[in-house]
Amino acid sequence: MTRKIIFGILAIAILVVGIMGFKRLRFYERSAWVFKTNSEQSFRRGRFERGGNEGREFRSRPENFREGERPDFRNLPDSVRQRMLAERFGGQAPDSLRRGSVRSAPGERDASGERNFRRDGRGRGGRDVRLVSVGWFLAVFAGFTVVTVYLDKVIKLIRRK
Amino acid sequence: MKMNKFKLSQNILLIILMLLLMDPRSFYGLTFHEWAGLIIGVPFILHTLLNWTWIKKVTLHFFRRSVGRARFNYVLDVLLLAGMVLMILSGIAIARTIDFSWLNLGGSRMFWRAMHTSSSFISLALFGIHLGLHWKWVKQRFKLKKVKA
Repeated sequence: MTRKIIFGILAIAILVVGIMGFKRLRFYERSAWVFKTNSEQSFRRGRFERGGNEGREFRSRPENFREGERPDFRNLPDSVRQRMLAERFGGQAPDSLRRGSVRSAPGERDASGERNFRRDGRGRGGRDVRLVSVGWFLAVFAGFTVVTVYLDKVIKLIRRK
Repeated sequence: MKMNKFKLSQNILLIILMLLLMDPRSFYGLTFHEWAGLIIGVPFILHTLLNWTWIKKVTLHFFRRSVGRARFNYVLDVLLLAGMVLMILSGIAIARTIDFSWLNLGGSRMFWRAMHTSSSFISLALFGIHLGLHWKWVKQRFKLKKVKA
């Protein structure tokens, strides 16, 4: 009996975290995304496509960068951005902002011959492993498993009766 | 017994790989995501081959003698297979670090990206349901439930 109670509490905890992950990852919206997309629709890299809110967790941001400025700033041409950076930071701009266009191809070699993996998600904050979002996916996955296990038990119980 | 242990470890590997692939930025960037995304097909095919006897049996008797649960499992597995195929195919269409342009898959990039996101999210949910339906087997492997002699 004690074992059953412990497993029950554990299942509820998994379910709660799973629901949180479901909401946080916008699981339903993103699952149904393909049904709302026209096959000939042109590509535009928006917030939703970049991964919604959860994308913020593993995207580093310069400390002195004010909230709300980045989206407009990213869309500016390189020349204008360089000028703005020079005005704002006076040549002391953070390295992440001073580099070339954010739209450059992934893995493209820069002047030093190094590959540019900024769009690959590598090199942001010097970390290659960020498992926060993986944890949320695990929570959702476990949530589905728990729901199925208990639903299966309920169905079996109903059939037996 | 050895086969069951192999199946279990292979399934755990498949789940870990699948979770790591859910976010391209989480584990060594897009290069890992794309290569591992192609490689994930191997344990998936292996998983199918290891359970081939069951697949063959249910396929042959699907409309006649199969029980409801087996039918439901079968439909779920077919959906999972479709999801995996779509996931890999759309991944190939939007690949950046591996050049698959010679395949000329057509369609807009937006469509393939939407397809990739949706198929992977739906497949993850189906994986969870699949595991839930085989929970008894997992419990037996971890000795949480006594196996009937």
